[in-house]
Amino acid sequence: MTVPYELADAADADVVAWAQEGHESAFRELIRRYQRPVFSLIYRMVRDRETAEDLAQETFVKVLNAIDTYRPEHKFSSWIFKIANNTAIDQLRRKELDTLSLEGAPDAVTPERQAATALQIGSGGESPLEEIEARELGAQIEAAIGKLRPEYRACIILRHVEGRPYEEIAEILGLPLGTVKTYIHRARGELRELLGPVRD
Amino acid sequence: MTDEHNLPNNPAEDPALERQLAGLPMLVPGATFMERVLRHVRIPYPLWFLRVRAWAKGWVTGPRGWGMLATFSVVTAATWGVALAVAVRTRSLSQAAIANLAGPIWTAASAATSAQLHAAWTWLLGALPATGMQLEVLVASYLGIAALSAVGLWRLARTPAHTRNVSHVAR
Repeated sequence: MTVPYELADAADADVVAWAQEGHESAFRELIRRYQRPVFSLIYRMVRDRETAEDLAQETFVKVLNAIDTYRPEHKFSSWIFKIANNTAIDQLRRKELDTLSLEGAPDAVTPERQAATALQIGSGGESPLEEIEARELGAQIEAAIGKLRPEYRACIILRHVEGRPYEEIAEILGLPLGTVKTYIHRARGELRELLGPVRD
Repeated sequence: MTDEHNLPNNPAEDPALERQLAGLPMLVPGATFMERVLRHVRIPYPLWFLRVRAWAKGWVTGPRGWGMLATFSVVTAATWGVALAVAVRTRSLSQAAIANLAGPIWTAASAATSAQLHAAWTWLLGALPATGMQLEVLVASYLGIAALSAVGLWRLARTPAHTRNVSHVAR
């Protein structure tokens, strides 16, 4: 296989093929492409920054060390999200993290730990007042997502935050398409209830 | 009839909610995340390296390896022999010079080997009574070990059972 002139413009399958040939630049490109979506998914599932970073790292290590086993018939994104979701679900099973706090992880008791585990939401270029309102609304939405069941949470994040189609979500979560639609439907209903006063 | 058929397929069921969800930002891991990951990733060797390694491994391992070793030894000895003969013939290296160079080395090596063997034998004869072991037993043990080594070498060198008598299959 020839070297893609610009790795950033290459399709996932090409970058993976390049990685399979042992080129570190391709590994870096895959991490660069997926570190934010994977980290965001895991963060919103486990709601703790340090844990999310560890799990995201675990996800990438699993995927990249098994890169030889990847088959191009499947989407690379589905594969990595599937492993990320399974890793997050395993963590949730190991340790229940029930409450979301924008000020930090539920088990953060010191100011340093709260700062280390707090959500970092970037500015969208609004005015200070709009930014505060956006942050508050974002916090409410994050809190509401955090109260969903893990299965609903994964579905709603993949559908509405990551923008994945229903079919891919079904593949990632290993669920029938109908079940995914049901989960998303119910999750929306729960979110509407939880966000009702805020949205008005 | 499943739930799937009863549900709206249009994702824009609640545009306001979906807009709010879509507005959630992508979160960013720490600055050193990539390096942290790469420290734990085994990057495969390049293809050309794997091909060369497989080729070389095919030549130096297995039954063919012994042939390679013998060929290499003979070729090396022959090369040095020819080079020495050519050097003598072209008189760039005289026989006297070879004798002057090789003589002392050979003498020193022989003397050192003899001295070491003599010292080892003397020590052995001196130490044997202390162990309570008869010289005959020691010699028999040594020969046994040598025989076992020979058997092991033969088993190692012979053609593996699963590759014997399969040439007709390959055809």
